[in-house]
Amino acid sequence: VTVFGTGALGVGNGDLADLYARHAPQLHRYCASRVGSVAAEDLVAETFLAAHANWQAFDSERGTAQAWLFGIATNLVHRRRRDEVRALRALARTGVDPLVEESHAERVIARTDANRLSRLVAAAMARLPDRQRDVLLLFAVAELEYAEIAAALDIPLGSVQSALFRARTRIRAALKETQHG
Amino acid sequence: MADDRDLKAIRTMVEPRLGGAPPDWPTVAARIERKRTAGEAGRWILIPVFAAVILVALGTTVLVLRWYGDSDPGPRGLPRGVAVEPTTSPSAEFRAPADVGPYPDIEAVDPYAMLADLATAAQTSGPITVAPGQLVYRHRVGWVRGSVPAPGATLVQTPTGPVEYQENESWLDPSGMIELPTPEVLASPPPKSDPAATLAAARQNFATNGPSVAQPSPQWAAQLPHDTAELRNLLHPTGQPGSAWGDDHDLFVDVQDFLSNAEPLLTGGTRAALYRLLAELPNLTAARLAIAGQPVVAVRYAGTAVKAGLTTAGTEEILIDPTSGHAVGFGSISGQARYQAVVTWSAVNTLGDRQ
Repeated sequence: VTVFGTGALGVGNGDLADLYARHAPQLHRYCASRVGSVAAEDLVAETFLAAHANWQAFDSERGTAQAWLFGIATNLVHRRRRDEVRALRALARTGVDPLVEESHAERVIARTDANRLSRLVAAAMARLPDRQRDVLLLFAVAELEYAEIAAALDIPLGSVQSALFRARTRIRAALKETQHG
Repeated sequence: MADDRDLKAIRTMVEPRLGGAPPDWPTVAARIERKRTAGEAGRWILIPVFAAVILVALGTTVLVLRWYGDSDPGPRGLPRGVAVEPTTSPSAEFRAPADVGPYPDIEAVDPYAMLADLATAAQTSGPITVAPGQLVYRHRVGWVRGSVPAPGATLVQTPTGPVEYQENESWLDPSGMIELPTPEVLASPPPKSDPAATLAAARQNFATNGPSVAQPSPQWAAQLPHDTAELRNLLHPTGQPGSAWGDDHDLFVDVQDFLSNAEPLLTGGTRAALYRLLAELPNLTAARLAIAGQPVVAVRYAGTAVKAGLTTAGTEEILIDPTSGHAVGFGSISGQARYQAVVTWSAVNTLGDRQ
């Protein structure tokens, strides 16, 4: 590990506490949307562990600290990809989201229309390639801009736009079934 | 897409998952501290091997790290056995928990008279000779000290972490001073970047835009001006958006960055002009001291910045060999993250060669 460079002093001068205060709630929301709120607590903590261990890798010219943190979080989510996809498939199949505590799940089931819609979305999202799902949720839930998503995932802006277009097209196609069903 | 029904549906689907909250900061800070401590313990397993290499290679001795005094680490010292360090060390300020000088082993000197002397010495210092096909080898030895914010802290002004010795070497393509990834780096890419892609992007940028301050080449550096106004305009053009630290600080850092990247390629005339340019800045300080066993002159600029209503202070430095006039090191020696490093350069035939 070396920090002999400008990157060493880049990440808010290492003021992780300040970064945490500013970004942890949004990171938690994003992680929870993918793996549930319980696992999200761990993921947020792991994100900042990784940020602390790798802060020399942060390059403010390539993106904001926020984008960098979401990139780390997304990489960590990938380690739980099976859980994420399994939950989406379960929700699509049964209408019950295994990542939601039971009492809440029951309430969701009661909302029949919304539940039916969620099952269709879950089925479509389970079939999305990982990268498209990353981009879609960073856009829809984390509400990052295109450029921030590009920085977070370390991919070109055009790839973000392309992935988002394809993902949204698939979700919209799935939703058409609610109109026909 | 004007129709956001898909986005609304996604938000509806995930909404039930969004309960709860992130863990509080003290919990996360404690985990970071535990992990850092565990990581250090693992790293220091390699230290005896490293120390043995140092002993053989340099014929020097190693000492148990005692940052706060020669005989008694005292209650503020690092726990015994935490680190083994070469006899050389960073400057005294670096070891201190706060900027509490003065220090007996540092001789303050007039920065402006010293820069004039350094410019004279630099006048006859040339670039290293890099033959076609050769690479530039860079070896850095230094120390870093960072911060682990205490639970509840919102801003840390003084480093709280231990002083860590670090050594780093890299091989650069002289056309653009582009760092080449070693086989080890290629074999274990960091989580957020692809070394091969980074290299390709750097080369593409150089091919498209040609040599520049950020990507110098020997031919480009040989033609740099010896006039301070022209150099100032090259490194810090008028009208360039400034940082919260102010123009003078930004110019000092620009010179620091440029020297850290292009030093071995510069002619004596350009190097001397850079020192004369530094002498145009107000509020400089300078000191004679020894770093890594090497007598140097540290030219320093202390600045402040106001960010989010809080004032942050930082002291940047350039370390110059008073005999040769070459810039031989760099540092940032106050504030919450500090580093100080000395650098040596040489031309080598292939990646992996060191001389």
